[in-house]
Amino acid sequence: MDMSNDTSKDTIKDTSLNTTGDTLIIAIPSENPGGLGAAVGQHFGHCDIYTIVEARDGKILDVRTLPNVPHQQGGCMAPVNHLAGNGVKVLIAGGMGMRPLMGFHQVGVQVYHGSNAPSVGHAVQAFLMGSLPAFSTEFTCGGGK
Amino acid sequence: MHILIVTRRALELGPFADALAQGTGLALRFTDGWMNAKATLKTIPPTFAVLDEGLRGGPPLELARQIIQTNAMINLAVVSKLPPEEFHEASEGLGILAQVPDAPTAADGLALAGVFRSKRARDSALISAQFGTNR
Repeated sequence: MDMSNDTSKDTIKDTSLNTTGDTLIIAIPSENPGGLGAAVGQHFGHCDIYTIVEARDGKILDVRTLPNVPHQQGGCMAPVNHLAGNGVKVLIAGGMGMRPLMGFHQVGVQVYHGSNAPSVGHAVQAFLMGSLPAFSTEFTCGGGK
Repeated sequence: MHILIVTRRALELGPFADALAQGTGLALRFTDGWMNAKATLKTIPPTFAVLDEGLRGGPPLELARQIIQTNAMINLAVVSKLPPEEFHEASEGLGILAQVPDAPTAADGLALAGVFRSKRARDSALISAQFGTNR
């Protein structure tokens, strides 16, 4: 997997692809310009952009980006619906509140904790190797008390 | 589409609630405790809920956490005496739309109605954008 900082090869295109079979659509909050070489955004709702990775059988098939949506107070379900509406099944995040975490669970998106990854590409590789922990309420902003 | 108000002082909140209904054009439902509120979520989920202080079961922010675990799509406003900064800290991650003063007036009801209307407009715009993107 190419984890260089050259994101020019990452195709930015329409994200209306449907998931079929075992293909997973993975979203990673990213710093601009997104792509495998970008840094992981530390809070999913406030990230610059999402890197969208399609993978099957542990291999990356495609990498593209998806712009974030505006985030206002109490509006943290907007990115949840945005990602779910774009077919995302897995989110790798560094930080989020309890409401969006519950929202992701309720719309069928699995969330994993990947804040320590040095880049989006490393986070995806760790996920594909099964080494990322599920994002539990312990990781949420406010502690999920 | 309706607003659920969870309170043990429905009469006292009358002017606030009337203004909220008038300002949003939405029907109001009242319930007075955690158990009924959580049961309502599964049968007739509200679009918005206002959680008052003084409920049996614990503080409204704790009820908010439990509501979110059942249905994170419900938009919440919470009555609280806390100063805004402390409230923001206490409610971090819960996505609370608005803090409501502990003795809310009709003016507070109208103000909250404005917040709810704005939220509905933003949600509608996002849904439109989603259809535009995907279809």
